[in-house]
Amino acid sequence: MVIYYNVGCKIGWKRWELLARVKLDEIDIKILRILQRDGRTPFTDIAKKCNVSTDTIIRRFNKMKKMGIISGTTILLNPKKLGYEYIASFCINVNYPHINDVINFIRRIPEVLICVPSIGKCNLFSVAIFKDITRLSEVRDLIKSHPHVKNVSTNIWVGQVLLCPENFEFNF
Amino acid sequence: MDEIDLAIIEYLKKDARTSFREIARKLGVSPDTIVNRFRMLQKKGIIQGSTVVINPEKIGYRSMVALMIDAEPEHSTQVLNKLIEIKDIILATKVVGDCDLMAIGVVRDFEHLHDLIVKVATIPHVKDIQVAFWVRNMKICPEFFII
Repeated sequence: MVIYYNVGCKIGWKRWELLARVKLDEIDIKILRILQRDGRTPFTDIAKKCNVSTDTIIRRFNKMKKMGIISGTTILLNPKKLGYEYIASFCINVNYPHINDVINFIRRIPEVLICVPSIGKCNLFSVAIFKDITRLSEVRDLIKSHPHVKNVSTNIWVGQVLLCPENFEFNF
Repeated sequence: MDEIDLAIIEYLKKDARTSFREIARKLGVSPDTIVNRFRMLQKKGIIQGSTVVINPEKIGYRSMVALMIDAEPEHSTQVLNKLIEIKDIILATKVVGDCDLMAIGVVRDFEHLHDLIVKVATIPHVKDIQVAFWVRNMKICPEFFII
């Protein structure tokens, strides 16, 4: 189902929560692409690149924010420079009836960035950052010590992490 | 890094478009101080850039997936470079553990997931792929981008 959001505005924002997919036009995509590369780009610069008025850009930006397509803007930090030497992901198998307990338990660990239930190799997938390898092993042991965790497999990320948020398409 | 640096990072993490003037006002220092501190943080490589956080769900992506890939060790760099070129793979890295490489991607539906796995599997020197399909909380959170 493809519905243009310009039409959607008329039926109210609440309704939008129910719609599966939003069609973005060229200007929307251009705004998103520019901001992906530099989230602080002034709206006036984006306007010049798109050949439209600054007001249009601000309106589009706010609209996408209101619709929840844009959750916000953020800075990219280098964890190593902040003293976090290790990034690791954990594949965790848990007793299914207690999965929510385990999720809450893991999310309380300050180093944990992501902890999501998943289907496939494991029931829970988690990514965390650590200052040193001792802390990594402590956290792993902590997770494993939870009575409903069956097993944990650890993968430590090495070398450069290649990030390419531009790889996902906005229109297909 | 002192308190001002940390405060700047905190404000910008929540909203990268916060004006330096506003941060200066909140911290009770001059805007020039913030500009200089920001440039310093960039120069030191602590702040690598800024980006917009998009909710993939709203544009038709139903979920995210972690792919754990086994590859021939001598060709792992080659596989890594091929991985990040694939559409819908947003993160790729080498790992030490029970697999050799890890990739995180966005998927639209099960058919698309299948296509993605086939694309990864056809990269030369890839031996095995294991999949962890994320079922909830798929929003790309700001913390995710700390990586």
